[in-house]
Amino acid sequence: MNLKKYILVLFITCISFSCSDYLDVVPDNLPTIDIAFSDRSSTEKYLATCYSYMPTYGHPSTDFTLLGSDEYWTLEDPYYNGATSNFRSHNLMRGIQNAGSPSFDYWSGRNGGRPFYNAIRDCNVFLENVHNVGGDLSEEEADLWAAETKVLKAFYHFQLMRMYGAIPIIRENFPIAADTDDVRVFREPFDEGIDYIVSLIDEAVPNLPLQIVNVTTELGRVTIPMALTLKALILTTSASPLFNGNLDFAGLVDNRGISLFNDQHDNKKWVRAAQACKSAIDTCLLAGHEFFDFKELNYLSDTTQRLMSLRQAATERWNKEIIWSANKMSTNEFYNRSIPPLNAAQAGYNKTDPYISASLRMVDAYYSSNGVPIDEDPSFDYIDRYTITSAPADHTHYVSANYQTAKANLNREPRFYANVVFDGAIWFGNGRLREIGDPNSSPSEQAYVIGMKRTEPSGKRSGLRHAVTGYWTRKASHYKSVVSESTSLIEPSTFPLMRLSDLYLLYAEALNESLDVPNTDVYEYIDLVRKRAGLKGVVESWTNHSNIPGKPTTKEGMREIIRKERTIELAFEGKRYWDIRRWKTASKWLNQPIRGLNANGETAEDFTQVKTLFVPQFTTKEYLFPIALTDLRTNTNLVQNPGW
Amino acid sequence: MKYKLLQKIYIMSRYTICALILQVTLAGMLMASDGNAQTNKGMEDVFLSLELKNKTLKHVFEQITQLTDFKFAYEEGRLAINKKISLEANNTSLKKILLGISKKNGLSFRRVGNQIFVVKHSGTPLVEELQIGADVTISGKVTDETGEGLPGATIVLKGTTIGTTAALDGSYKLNIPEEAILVVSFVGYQAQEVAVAGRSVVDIQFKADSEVLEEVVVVAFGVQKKESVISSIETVRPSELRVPSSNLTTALAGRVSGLIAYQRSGEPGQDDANFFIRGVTTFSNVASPLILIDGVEMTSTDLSRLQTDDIESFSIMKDAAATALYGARGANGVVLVQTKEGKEGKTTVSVRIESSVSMPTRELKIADPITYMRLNNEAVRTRNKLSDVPYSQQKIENTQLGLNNYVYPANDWQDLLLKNNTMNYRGNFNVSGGGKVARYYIASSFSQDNGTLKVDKKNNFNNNIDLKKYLLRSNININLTPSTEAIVRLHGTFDDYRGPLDGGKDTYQKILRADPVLFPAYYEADETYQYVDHILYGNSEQGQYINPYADLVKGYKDYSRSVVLAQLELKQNLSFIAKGLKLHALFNLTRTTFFDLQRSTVPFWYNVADYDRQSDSYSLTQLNPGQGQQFLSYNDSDGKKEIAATNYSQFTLNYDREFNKHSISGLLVGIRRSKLTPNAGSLQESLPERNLGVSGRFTYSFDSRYFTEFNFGYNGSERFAKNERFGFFPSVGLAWYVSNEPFWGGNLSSTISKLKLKATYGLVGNDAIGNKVDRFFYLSSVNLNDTGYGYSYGENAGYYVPGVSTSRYANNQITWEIAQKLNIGVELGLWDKVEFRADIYTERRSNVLQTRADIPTTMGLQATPQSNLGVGKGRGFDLSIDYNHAFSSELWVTGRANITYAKSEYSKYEEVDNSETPWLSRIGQPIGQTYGYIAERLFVDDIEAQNSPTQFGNPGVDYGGGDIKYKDINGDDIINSLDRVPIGFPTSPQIVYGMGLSAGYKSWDFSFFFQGLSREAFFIDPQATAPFIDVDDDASVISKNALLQVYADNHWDEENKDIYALWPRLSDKLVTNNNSTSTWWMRDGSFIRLKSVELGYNLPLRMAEKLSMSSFRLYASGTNLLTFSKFKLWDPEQAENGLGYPIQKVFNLGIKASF
Repeated sequence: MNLKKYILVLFITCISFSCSDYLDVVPDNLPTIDIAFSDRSSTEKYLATCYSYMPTYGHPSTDFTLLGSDEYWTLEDPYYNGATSNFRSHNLMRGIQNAGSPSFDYWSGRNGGRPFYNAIRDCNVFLENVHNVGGDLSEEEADLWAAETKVLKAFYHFQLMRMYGAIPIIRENFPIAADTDDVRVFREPFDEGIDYIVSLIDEAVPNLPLQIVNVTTELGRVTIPMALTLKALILTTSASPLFNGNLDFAGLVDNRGISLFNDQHDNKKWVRAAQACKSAIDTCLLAGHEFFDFKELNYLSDTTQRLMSLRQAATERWNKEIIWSANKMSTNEFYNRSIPPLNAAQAGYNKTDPYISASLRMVDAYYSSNGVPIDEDPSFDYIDRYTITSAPADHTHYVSANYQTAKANLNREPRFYANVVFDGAIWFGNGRLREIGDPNSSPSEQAYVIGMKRTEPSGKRSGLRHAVTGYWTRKASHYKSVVSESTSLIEPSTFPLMRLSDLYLLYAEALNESLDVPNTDVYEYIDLVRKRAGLKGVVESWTNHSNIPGKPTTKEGMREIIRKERTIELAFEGKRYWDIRRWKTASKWLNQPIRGLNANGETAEDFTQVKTLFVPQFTTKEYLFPIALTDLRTNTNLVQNPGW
Repeated sequence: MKYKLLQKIYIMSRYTICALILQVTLAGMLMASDGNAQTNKGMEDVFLSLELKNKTLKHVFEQITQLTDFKFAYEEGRLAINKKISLEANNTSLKKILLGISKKNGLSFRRVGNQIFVVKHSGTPLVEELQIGADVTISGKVTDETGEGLPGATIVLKGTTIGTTAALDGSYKLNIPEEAILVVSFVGYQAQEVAVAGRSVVDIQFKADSEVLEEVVVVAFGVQKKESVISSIETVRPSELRVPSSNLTTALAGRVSGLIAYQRSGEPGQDDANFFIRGVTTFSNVASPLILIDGVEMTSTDLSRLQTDDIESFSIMKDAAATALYGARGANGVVLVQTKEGKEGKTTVSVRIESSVSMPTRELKIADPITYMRLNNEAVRTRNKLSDVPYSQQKIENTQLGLNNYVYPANDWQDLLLKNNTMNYRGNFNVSGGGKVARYYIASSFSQDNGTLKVDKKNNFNNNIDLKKYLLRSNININLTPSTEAIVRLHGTFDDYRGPLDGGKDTYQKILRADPVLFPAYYEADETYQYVDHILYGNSEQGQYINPYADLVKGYKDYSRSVVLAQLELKQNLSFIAKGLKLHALFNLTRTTFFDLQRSTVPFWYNVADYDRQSDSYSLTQLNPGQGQQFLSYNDSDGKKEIAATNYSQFTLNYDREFNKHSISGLLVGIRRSKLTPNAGSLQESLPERNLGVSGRFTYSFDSRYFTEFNFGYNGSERFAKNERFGFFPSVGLAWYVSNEPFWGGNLSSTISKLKLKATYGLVGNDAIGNKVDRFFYLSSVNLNDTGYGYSYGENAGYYVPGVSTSRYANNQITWEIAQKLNIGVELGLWDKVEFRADIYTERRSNVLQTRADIPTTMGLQATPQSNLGVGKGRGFDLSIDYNHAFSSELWVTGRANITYAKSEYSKYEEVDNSETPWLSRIGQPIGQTYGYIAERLFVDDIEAQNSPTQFGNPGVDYGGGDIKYKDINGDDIINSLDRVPIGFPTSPQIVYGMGLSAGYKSWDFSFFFQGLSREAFFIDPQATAPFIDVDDDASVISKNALLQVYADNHWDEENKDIYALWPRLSDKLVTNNNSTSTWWMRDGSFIRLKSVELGYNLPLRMAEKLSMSSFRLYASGTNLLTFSKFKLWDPEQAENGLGYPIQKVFNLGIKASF
């Protein structure tokens, strides 16, 4: 009997275990990280990964430099209630930033930030492995890709340093199984970090191309001009007052006793920055970069041609002025939120939902037609600029003739008309590619006249979709884009991270700072930018039209002029966000009221009433981002930025 | 009772006749053996020597039995058998010895054959010897629970073979001694002992089947005798789970000790209750118990679809000894359900039909449109004095005057879209019976649950929720050979649903997010549109506002779910190998499918363009020309399509034997399970889930007094690396049946009729850790073509290269959670009427999967590694009391009460260093603890806000007077996440209890049941309830929250600065400051409710028989009729889901008939 019993027990056990691999359900060919570096094509994917962390610039919800500064102001209507993530950056201006759960946490990638330390890890993984791929990946290509990755690695570090100041620099990756104590890294002193990322760029440059030959498949990748411009920007930033002898940060010491910021101003940093700028400029010119010149519609008047050059300089895809652009197709959202509806039907079309308007401060910043600030130009009625007058006939390409509009909208420099949309402004584009009064066209083909008063097509027609300041902008709009009541065909554009006029002005600034008295080179590079805008040179303009004619002759005067020039030239591109911080002027600007016109006004008089929309509060701590509390608590070797 | 032979024969099945023949034959053998039972010697002729000191009577009788041929018969409960006596006899006759005992102890002895009957006797000492048939003649009738005679029942004198069988009508006649005890038995019923006690008519009624079941307890992979069960297993009578609902899980709360259960929604199809055995001790992923129906793992949805009428037994297994056999899957406890099988006997047809009316237990009250407008204006002005108000005085007045309702709408969306009540129907039908060879149980049921949404006559399709459930079940048992039984189970559950596109919950929410005064639900056509034949839905601007009426009417959703199961079981008796050895093999195939699809039109939006007050006429304008669609469109990609295939096999070898006082049993089980979900979403998820295991149980008991048990599970799961794949889970148990001890006697045994102590300890595992996507922890999860990590190069961004991402780094050390469970229990019976059971337990759950907290972001890992780091601790008790008493054969009362207390806490939790903020550490805090701010009160004014620690945003701008003031815990003058502390009880209850009473008098019975829970906190969602706010995540949809009446009545306003008002200062924008989780929004979730009431009437048997029925019952019942709680806004059981589909109160009428 026992035999049978044992047979049975054995039988059951066998059933259960007969296939000991019953639990091996995982097939052999699952993807693993080793395969990522097995050949050229998979390595190329890893390279794309290194690029992929680039933030979506020019997108109001991810690029906090747009709504996070005083260039734009936006309708925060109860209907939106911050429900759209675009308001996250606007909230920075409203003072809603905190260390508990920081907005745009690029350190960790939370709340609208990109995970830049993941990016750096991937760059390091790539650099560790790219030279071991072999096979169909040639040594030259491996060198090229490694060089590109180094520049990206420098860029990711730099972006964090702009936001947080001193940061942990990850030169090499820690293994995943590393000890907790090892991975608790320290913030590295700011200047050491700068030196390291500059050296990364220097290492990379010899292996990079001067320009992209195969534009259809490679445009957007790192070139020497891009690398050198980045280096110029890095060095200019580190030489700027925020990071060069800023006593506000002087006390920041980590728990090893190491100071994270310098406390001595070092003017040699400006010299180094100026050299880097000059070298970048020379290389850019060598690579064929030049100012954008609009020539597509040759029947246009010179005035309109110039406006189009200025407007399209940032928008026209890959025009020669753009040194580097984030190649993400991101401008639709910017377009939809900032471009005015042009007729009543379109105002009801909910595919575009515009609510991003220009702040009155930016409207006032533009020069008079004489190329000097409106408050310095005696011929400009600065005090009564928000009173009504009738547009004169010589403004036909700028303002509809005889339109009742504010004086502020008349007698301004071309860049004002190229980029600011006001009540009575002319809109060229959206399918209407003929100037008003063009004898060779019917009125329906001619440019729009913008009406912005309440109930007018571009004005406030409901609680939604209006310019709360009474001004729209058009820097995001490509003139070929067409939005009608049922379609939206938005011409893809690029959003410039670096363009030539930016670099020129950086050079002028760095050079001016490095000298005791401005020299002709300073004037030359700022004047190049002014000339393209149809303005006379700095010295000439100030001498003839300003009530402070000697301003350009001093270092301090030139500093102010260059800063204003940057504000105007790069307006609405988000550059001001960084500039006023690096200049340490944010505490001046961002504590003044944000103002606008009365969008509820139905008549020109009512409409031009100036209203205070918000009084922001900017404190010193906001020069730097807060490190999230969780990050500080995870890594107790990190110290928080001052004030947070 | 009148006896009608023809009818009787007609009703009796073939088997009953067989049984009759069989039993008559057996009875013949009994009678035939009468003569042989006589012993030759009388008691006077038997001499024996004894010397016993201070021994129990029982022991004395045993001694005598050993020395002679005589056996003693007595009824233990009636005799103080444990009384101690001393005895000395030297070659004395038995009669003399017994006379002595009789004298001292008030007992009398009567010898019949070799049997000596012992009874109480207060008169003179008596020892008699009697001849068979020489005594009294008794007669009576043996009936079943319904009072029907049981022909062929055997009635035997205890301890003898003397006896008889009942006649066709169940009557019998028998000559026996006056004080004899009868043993009555019948196939399918538990044998009964009845004392004659001098009666001449002894009627015997068998109790219902479930009474029989109580004696055997369903345990893992088998059954055990109730007395020998050591582990903590709670069994519920299926009838107790019967509530007027088509969802079984809603009946669980408070019915079963050890089960924490609560229901958050009343929406048909979404109303499954959450239930956890002894609370939740894990915090990684799955905390729900393993659910086994007929031995096969199923989901809680499958459980919810079960019909109580089909359930043979329902039990939950709580401790390690009960669940260790399930090894790596049993740590969260096991719910075990057996469905009914056919029994040998006549065909029984049973039908139950119910129809019920249901309505919300509590209705959410919303402020009227006029108040809404006034307070919306207040909300705007109180925050910004310069703002325009949204509603002009003229609009408010005209609305109030009730001018044209289309121009000045004042919608009560609730009234417009919701019905006060709805009707539901359920029907249930089953047939069972069988013969010697085969037995069957076939059941089918149908239920229809309707939602409480209004169906508009304007619409051509029904949008109200309509959930139909069908169920078919067939259990067939076939005796292939005398020792082989095959069981075939076929089972299908089918749900067919039709309902609104958004589902019930979202429809309810949309009602609370729609503007009441902006537009009406629809317009009557004006002149321009009088010939259109679509509905002219109201909206504003470009139609981005929520019009819940349009959303309800514009389309519908269908879904269908089916579970089909085929199961074959073979039972082989292996007594030819060893007595008591049995083999059981089970093969199961389960297929599940689900799909849903949607069809919808696109509404045409209209608004008033112009209104002429003189003529009271308006003209309309269409808001979305060219976009509306009158015809239904269908999108194939909408909706889910899910399928799953499970194969399961199980072999059980069972050995069970008694040797005198020793009883041993052994069990060995092998299982194999594979589940495939092919469209799971990723490669790793699409791989089969598999389990493999061997488990065993060995029990030994001695003399029904001492019990020991050893269990083990040895299990493997495909989730883990080879080195961690198999786990061994042992458990042991001990029990002492104190009241079976010899010393337990006299008054003690009549007061405490039962006392059993037991303890178990062991390990059980849980392999359901981590998210499903993270199933293979030992593998890294790499996506080499991740579009989220790609980049576009080229002039037109035309060259796209995907990237590489890692969503998990490999870790081959990860393994299951282990639960160490200790259970100590006591079972106590008092006066044979009250049964009391109590268990206390502790549990330590280690290896809980957690994300590592010590890896800084600067490591740059795309996924933070996880590890078996956490440890949870649980403790608690479950108590239950049953009371049964029959005052007479016509009046009976039963009562039940139970309480479950389950508390669990984190004892090791992977978290950042909290040494400076100890209040943030989870260690020592309950699992499921909410962290939040301590709200002190509302700010008096802006100045106070500016002079207090900074909260959220800028004081005076983003928050100020009338907003919530929080406590600064760490004193750093900033309120931020470091100032959060544990607040309130966990969000699932720690205590669940229930108590009920049933009583019957003659044909009537009545029962009620109260259920409650406590030690639970929940939080009002301040964002979802914030009036006038757009809380919709969708930027293209404009929603506007309704104003709850309680907020309208009680909020901070500038005239009455009530710093303890229910709602802070009104606002038309979201105030982040007031939106955080804090004590301000915390509410006590406790409640007690009258969960069910039932009044039933059973037609007297006589009348039922006239209708050819064996029973007929008419009953009225109700659930959730009364609720008592501190929280009044909505049903407290819904907790934070108060704005969703409400829990229902049900009034029900039903009939049940059996043939």
